[in-house]
Amino acid sequence: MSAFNPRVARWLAFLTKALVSVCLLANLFGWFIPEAAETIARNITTLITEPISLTTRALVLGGLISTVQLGILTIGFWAMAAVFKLFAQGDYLHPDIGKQVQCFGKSLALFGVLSPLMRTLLALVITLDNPEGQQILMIRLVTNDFVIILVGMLLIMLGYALKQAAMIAEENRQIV
Amino acid sequence: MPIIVNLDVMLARRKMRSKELAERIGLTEQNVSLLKSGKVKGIRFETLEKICEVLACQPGDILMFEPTVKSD
Repeated sequence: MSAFNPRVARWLAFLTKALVSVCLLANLFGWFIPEAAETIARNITTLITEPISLTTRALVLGGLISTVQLGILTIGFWAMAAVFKLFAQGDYLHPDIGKQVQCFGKSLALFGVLSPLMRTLLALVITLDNPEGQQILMIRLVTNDFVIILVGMLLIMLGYALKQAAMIAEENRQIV
Repeated sequence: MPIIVNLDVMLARRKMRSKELAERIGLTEQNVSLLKSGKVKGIRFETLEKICEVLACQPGDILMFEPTVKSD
């Protein structure tokens, strides 16, 4: 079996952290620019033609909701970068790899579970200041959410298996 | 641990240094040292076989069981 190229792993770690930081910052600053905020809000909620009111209250709450949602994913991607970093060090059976994979899995699963709720809340927030009768309470389940939850659960299990493998490897190191 | 490793005794009897044993059985000196001091969790049959072959002895000459005495 050929070893993983440490340079590639180091680059992947850097790239993951850079991309996720840019996404988080872009989302955060996007809510300060009305046109960008509208694009973000309409993209997340898929309310393309419906009237929305981006008042200060809606912008603050909307920014908070989407940042929390993205923040959960950021934690997971940070854990993924840690896995790449450990691979770059050549420590394929480090006990932390399993822990970090599980962390990524948990963040993905949580992201998938919270996504419908976040969409509902965001749709409510951006239509809250609409004229009476035009507020929208939407519940939208997307197949992607289920796929994300399933992948998250799979990663949690794989992380557990990696933790066990690391324990066995450590035990084997003490057998001559 | 009730299992006592008598490797140092056998090495002295055969007038062999740890370094030579390590080279002949294909282990690092560090691992032979750990084995001598009993600071390992286990020994592979393969390693035991090589040690017995090189030192011309039986597994029982290297490993010994000494029951722990419980104090009241």
